[in-house]
Amino acid sequence: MEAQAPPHSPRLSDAQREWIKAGPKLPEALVLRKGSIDLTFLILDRDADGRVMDIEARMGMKGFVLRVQDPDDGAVYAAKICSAADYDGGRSERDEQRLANVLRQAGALFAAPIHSGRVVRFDGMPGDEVEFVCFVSDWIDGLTLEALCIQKPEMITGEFIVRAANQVFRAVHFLSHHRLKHDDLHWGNVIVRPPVPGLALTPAEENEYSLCLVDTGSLKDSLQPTGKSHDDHLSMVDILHSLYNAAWRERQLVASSPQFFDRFRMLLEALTDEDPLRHFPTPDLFVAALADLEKASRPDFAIKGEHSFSPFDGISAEHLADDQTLLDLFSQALPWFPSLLATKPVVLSGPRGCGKSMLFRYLSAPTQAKAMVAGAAQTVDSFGVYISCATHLQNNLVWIARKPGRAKELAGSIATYFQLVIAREFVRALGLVNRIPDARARFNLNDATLDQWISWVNAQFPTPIETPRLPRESRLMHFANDLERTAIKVHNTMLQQRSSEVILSDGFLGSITSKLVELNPAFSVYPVVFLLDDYTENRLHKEVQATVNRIVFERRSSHFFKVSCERMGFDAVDSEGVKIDSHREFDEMDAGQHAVEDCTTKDAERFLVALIDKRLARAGWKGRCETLLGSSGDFSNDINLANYIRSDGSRQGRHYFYFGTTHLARLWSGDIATTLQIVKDICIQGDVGPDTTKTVTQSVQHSSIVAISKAYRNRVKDLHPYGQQLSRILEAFGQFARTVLVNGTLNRKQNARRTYRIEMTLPAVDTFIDQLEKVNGAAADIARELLRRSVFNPLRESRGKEGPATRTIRLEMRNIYRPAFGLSLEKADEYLDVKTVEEFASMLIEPSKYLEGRTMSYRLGKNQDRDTRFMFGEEE
Amino acid sequence: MKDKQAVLRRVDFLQVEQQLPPVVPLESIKLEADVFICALGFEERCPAISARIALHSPSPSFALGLTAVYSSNREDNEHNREALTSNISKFCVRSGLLAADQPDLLSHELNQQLGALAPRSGRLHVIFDISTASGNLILSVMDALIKHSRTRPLDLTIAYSEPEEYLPTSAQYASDSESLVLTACRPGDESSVHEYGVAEVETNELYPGKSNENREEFILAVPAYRTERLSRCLQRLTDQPLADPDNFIFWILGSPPDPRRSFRLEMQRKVISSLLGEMSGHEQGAGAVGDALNETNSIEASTLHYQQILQVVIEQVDAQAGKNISVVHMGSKMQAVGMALALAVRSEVTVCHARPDRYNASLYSLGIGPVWGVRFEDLSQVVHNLGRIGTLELQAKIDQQGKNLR
Repeated sequence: MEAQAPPHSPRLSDAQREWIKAGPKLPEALVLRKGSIDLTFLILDRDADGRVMDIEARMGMKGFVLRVQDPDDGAVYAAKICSAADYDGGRSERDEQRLANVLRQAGALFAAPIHSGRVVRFDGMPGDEVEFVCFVSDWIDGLTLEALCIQKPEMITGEFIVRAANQVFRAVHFLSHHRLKHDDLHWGNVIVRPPVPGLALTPAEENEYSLCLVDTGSLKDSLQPTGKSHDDHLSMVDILHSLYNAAWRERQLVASSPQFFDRFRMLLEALTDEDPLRHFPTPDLFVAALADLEKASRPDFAIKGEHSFSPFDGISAEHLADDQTLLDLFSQALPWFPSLLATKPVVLSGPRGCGKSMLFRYLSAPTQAKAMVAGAAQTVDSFGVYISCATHLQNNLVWIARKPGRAKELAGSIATYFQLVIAREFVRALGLVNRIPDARARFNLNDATLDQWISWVNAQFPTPIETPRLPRESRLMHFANDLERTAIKVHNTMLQQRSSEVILSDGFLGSITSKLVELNPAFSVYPVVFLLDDYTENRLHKEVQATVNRIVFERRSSHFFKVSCERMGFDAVDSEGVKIDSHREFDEMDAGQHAVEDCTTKDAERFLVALIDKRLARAGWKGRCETLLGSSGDFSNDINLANYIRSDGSRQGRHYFYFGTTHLARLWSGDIATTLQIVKDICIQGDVGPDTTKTVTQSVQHSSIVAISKAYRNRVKDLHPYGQQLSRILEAFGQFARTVLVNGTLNRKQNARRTYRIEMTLPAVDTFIDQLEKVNGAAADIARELLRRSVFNPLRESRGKEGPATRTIRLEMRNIYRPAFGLSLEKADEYLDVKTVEEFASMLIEPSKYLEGRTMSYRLGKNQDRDTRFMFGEEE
Repeated sequence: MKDKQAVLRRVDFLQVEQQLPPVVPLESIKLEADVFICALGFEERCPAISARIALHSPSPSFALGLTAVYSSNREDNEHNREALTSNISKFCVRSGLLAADQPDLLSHELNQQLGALAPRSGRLHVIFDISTASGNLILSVMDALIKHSRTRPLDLTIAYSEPEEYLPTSAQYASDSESLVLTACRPGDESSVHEYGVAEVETNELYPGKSNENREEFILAVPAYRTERLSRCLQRLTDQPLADPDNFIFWILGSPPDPRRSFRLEMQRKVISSLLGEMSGHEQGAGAVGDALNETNSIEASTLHYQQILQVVIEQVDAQAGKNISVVHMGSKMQAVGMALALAVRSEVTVCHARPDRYNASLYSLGIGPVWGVRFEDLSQVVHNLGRIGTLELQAKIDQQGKNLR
């Protein structure tokens, strides 16, 4: 038996719904009885049998919509057919006209009914109703909000939600102002419509969609009671909460803007308060709340005072979410800063934590734009675009190199993906800078030029990628999302072993920057610089790097790259194996080498003290580096320290000799994060808080320095690959250096020997690694990792004493490991002389055996004045 | 004008928990399906589930049997090949292989194979025997199955055979726990319990996550009983675990439901405490439980009842939203099932894993123990329900006739 709706129910019965779902056969026309007049409309979308397919998508609980046409003038309308029970049968034609006139005042915000009347039940339709109510209004192309969230989730952004909320609120407010209520408001009755053809004047407007509320047949006096659970206000909240839930399923949005969701939830809670007027007494306050919500959707959103800053937050620059903090903490005294300002390609290498990311982020145009607002801008003559290989490439190219040769097979897709990621960051940077008036002026940005440029970029794709947006959404930020989505699609096609629909030429980046220069000559004055951070083998396998190297090192007048990576982090070859001429294409800088060789201890101390003081000041702590740590006293002289360790420090009992700012400077070999870890641990162990101003005891400082040193030493074995072997080398060398320091003979000046360096003189032909490769491939791989991971730092090569055809390489044990072995901290003249590449290889492969042998060959206590050159080499 | 009231509620795990099927003895689940998936491992329990199905299927009734093959311990695994192949041939019309260590290839192949099948009923019924599947393999297969379930209804049964005894045994642990903990924290060799070495450290490409610029890292670590692979993963994921690792690592420890195995939890606690001491440089001495693990940086989750880790992961990810979150999963097999379901609705999380150079087959587990199962009758519906966690529900305060009229 057919399930019937209850008497007087305004809902369609189950049977009626099933009938509609099945695609009913409908007559060619329907006749609307409007008072004494009959209006005829042709029913559209019928197939040859008269069935209207896809009608299910236009069915609600109470009725369904047909697309109909006036046979006289061809105008297309929406005819909503629904049960009469929900409608005021007493409304006259004049009443309907009055209501429609009110709605028309709101322009395109409502699809006002043009006709209303009755239609007889269709043949075959279940039920015992004689007739139904029918409202005829303009047909609106587009998707309902509900359908859009399912079919085009990519359109859901924070900005979109705020614009949609704004329009729905506007509609509810308008009705309330006219003492009306919609009374059937839900997200299936809100249409997102494209612009009417011909009305869009610019390419930018062609993708500007608008919102329109349809199905106004239930419109009634606002004071008229109904039994419904939702009034218009609650219906609006219902729509907003549905948008929240749709956005919550877009995990990228949640991951990038969690604060948007927190605030959105608070807004909804305020709206469901028993008295929402308490929160939003006037409409403009609700609009202001939406504007705040929109700001919270931006990934760079930060509110002053919302998060307290601890001096040791964001030790890694990648962890500083807020550019203002980055600006406050940035020290221009960074020794290699001036060299990086030059407008030319640079490869900056150095150990992890040496400040590369901080520097690159600082140089980016959005950060500089914020610095302009704060009156702290540098003279950076470029438009920097920061790209982090760790985060922006999303781990998406790592798997490719697992299968040898696959990177070459997928070269086109890899290059496309890489360029899309960079283009996305470029567009996003333009979008962020464009919001700041001073920065807009500097780069001569204007909407017309940017619109023209985006349209041009969009046209470079086989199928344009730009998606619709609501008015006042930033086109740049929206297009950045489109680029990101396209990049994800390209990655997925690689993963699914399908061929990508989008393949860009390697010159894509060059062409879009050239076009921007053409449209806006300011970019020839301020060239685009892509600041590619962490472009290292750890993030991108060398086969993948070889594929994108030709993009990174392409010579273009409109842009260039600055690259940061671990030392030896990439091979400068292209996918054909052709070597990129490093001296011709880019300047190379080694931050670790620079710190160790070019900075005096005083320079380093000054820099680090200032750096730490900036953090303490930013956090509002009273203490400063020099007051908290104090001086290193007599041990500021490293020879004193070495002699003390030899005489007293190596004996049983508690001895404290690592403390003070000089030692902090000596532990630094370019790795700023290490220094911050030490001070952080000293503050934790020494109970230093915001109000502490007294110096932390030497014993606490000593313990912390040794602990952090051991922690770094312990972690070497966890490096991948070759961690175990690197650890063996470090352990063996550390023990060797300790034995020599404590038990070895004194040097000519009667001081303890500080042997923290290895030296080897080689023929000046191939590189040291290449020569090692010829002797022992495994040893070469280990040596590469030893330097890449900065277990040892390379000092600059010099001409060998043996003659002009030779050169001397010097590898020094990284400073931070020294306290763990009980060593002094400064580089010294002594060194372990390794005579041949073969000998060096054996040290790398069997470090304990080799270094124990070198240690044993020196007999303690005998021949104090004997010649030790065989062991330590010639002393200068 | 406002005359109606409503309350807003956030959907939490407890509201969907009851819709998750429990883990039950396998005999209470009917073992009929279209597809059987398993792994060729070296443990004795490897062919146990297939033998059970073969016993009840006198003729081939499954369309397809797929065996995932590892690139490590090949010769050890080969010992089980004949028995496993023979069993599968008794109840599967045809069979195929999957690359266990290559998620991209595995996912592609599995999707192709499933796509080519016409199920006997409206739903495609799959049995996935995880008895000797690695955590990473379980994550990869689950991801492929969940994605496939979006294209057609899929009924998934997880089948799991425990070993009779895990190594180290409780007697071994009782007699020398300190030395076991010490060796668990050191690089292993051929004599080490379970495994040694690290062959590779990678991100599972099926779980790349969604990292954002300038965010802190947060790691959900599900440890096993050795630290070598775990440490490599942590080293890869972050530069900073020296002072104060509590700020960015949360430990999910494995709690065995069988009280006779509770020593394994104690051992895990000691191993991780020792690791934390080593990471900070302030070593507490091997085997010290100390206060390195506490309720703010760790939680226990059943090694069998997958729902517990599922809840923990979703709640932790939601609590840490906005950070770049990674998972290092080295926990139990059933925990991997829970992890996969959690990550299906929290795709922003990256999965990092490391394969050992070699498992020590003779020092891993012994015999065949109880067999368990869990049946997800409609996998996509399960994931859909989980997707509701964190969404908002708007409930009208009045309930009159005509409510929710649309």
